[in-house]
Amino acid sequence: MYGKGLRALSIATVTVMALALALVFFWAPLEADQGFLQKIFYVHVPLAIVSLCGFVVGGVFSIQHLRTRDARWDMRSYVAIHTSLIFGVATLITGSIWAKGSWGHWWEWSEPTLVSFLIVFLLYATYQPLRFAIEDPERQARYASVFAVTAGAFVPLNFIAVRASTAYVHPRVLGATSNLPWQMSLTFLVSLLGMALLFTTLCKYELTAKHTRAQLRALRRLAERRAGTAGIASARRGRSAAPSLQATAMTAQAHDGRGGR
Amino acid sequence: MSAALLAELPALPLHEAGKYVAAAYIVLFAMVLVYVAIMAIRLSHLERDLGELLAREQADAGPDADAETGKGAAGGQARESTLV
Amino acid sequence: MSATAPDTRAADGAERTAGAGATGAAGEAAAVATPRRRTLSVVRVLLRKELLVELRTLESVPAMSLFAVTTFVVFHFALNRNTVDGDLAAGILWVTLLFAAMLGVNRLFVADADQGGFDAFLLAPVERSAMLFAKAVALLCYLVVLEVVAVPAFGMLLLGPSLWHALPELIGVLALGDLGVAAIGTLVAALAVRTRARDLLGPLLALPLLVPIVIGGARATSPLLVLGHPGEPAARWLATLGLYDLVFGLIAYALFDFLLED
Repeated sequence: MYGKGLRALSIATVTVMALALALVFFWAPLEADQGFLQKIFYVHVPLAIVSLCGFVVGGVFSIQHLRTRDARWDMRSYVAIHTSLIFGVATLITGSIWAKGSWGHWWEWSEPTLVSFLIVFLLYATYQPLRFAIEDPERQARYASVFAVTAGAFVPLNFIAVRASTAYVHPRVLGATSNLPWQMSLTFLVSLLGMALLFTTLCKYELTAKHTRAQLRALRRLAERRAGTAGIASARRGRSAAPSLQATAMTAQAHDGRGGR
Repeated sequence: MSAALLAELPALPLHEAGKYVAAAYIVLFAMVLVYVAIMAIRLSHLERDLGELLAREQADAGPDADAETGKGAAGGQARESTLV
Repeated sequence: MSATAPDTRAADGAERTAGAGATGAAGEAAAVATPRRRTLSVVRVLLRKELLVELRTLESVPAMSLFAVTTFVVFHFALNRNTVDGDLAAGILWVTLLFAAMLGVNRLFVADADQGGFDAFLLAPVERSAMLFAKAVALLCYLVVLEVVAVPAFGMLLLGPSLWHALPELIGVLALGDLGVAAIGTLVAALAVRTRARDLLGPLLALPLLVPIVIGGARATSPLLVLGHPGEPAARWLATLGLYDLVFGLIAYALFDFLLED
């Protein structure tokens, strides 16, 4: 049951996010240099951190998939990467807005977060086309996992390399998380927690939806077999980039003990 | 005292910086809303498919279906009351 | 048309017999006692096959080299410059080498995928990463030949300062970069070759993964190509290149087997 902890998780997400927003706008002090514009920091940097971690977590799930050959790990990896990509795009957009507000132009090469996210986005944008280009589902999952592990290892290395290449050009302004007064640090941490909870909730939501659809497909197959009309009018989905689960009673029960993602 | 405190708190500045900050937070909001919308569409598809399956099963069940649907309808009503 | 047809048929024949020969020789090599020596001899056999096929068909390396030289000409017109130096020179050199390498990466596994070389290899009782090593070393050889052609061409066509003084350090930096390109290129080529859009996916996957190599390589090369007093490449960039090569070499080694099962 993928949906088991979903209600508690979403309530926690709403609470923490609301608290974070309240702290950002009503409590955190204004920053000396940038003034009100600095408030973007509380949405841009948590998005970036959660997205980076999400890509790495997707790689870890893929390692599990390659080790156990259990398709559920591939599903988790797919959802993690796919959600991280969305968060990554949001990082790029919010970072771009911040750059425009700070420097007057929409892109800033000296900002390592933005640049490394652009590269990571370009890489992960090939994930879905790669999956779509392989028809056999087992091979699709396996190749996607190889990609996810490679890319997951790449993400931190790329971040370090880009940061090294921009370090001596401009002082980093957008992402500075050190030397913050404690009120800002606390607000930042609450925002980060809220963003991480949001990511987890969205992933769990999508996993539950996919699992439910798989259960429906299994039910339909059973019904057709019982009626002796196997294969009639079953909506054959064409090639798909998304992994599909074989839902059984086992997949439904297997999660009760875990209660996690 | 509270009046003095309120005077101290800055009103939301709606000049340049405010627009950018608002835009950034709207991006986050929009992202979540789009996600909700996509999930809602999927849910409606799921409901439709499940409805078709149920209809087919009930049709197949044939004459027994009359007794079944009586129970089924009552069960459905009981379920709906818990959904709120 | 008819003149080339016998060539391609001969080349195909060479590839097929080379493929079969590799399996037979691999089987013989497998009879040798220790696993380590077995893998090494398998790698040697496969590498020899790769290089022989490339020598007979000449399908990768001449195209890569020609592409590089043509790109230099294009750069001359695009930038409207007669000479370049420093950062610009380093950038042009690395970008050109990278894109030429993509041509080689695209062709790396095509013959095996199309002519059943994978199946033949999988039947042999040998360690699968032998193919990874053989293909990676083959790609490395192609890159070296590419650079032997492209770097002097660059020196003649576009480079302002003299190439001669910077040559030893340049060779070192290029070698470090080539190792990374070979590791990542082989892994990505194996990944992309059995998908539907293999020519498109290969470069799309490889280029972002190779960005840190471009960063390290171009930053390390640019002090070498400065007019007047060329400097030394900063150790930081050499360390970046070396570390990246090591990490991705290990990752490619760990993951390659999963691509080959079927």
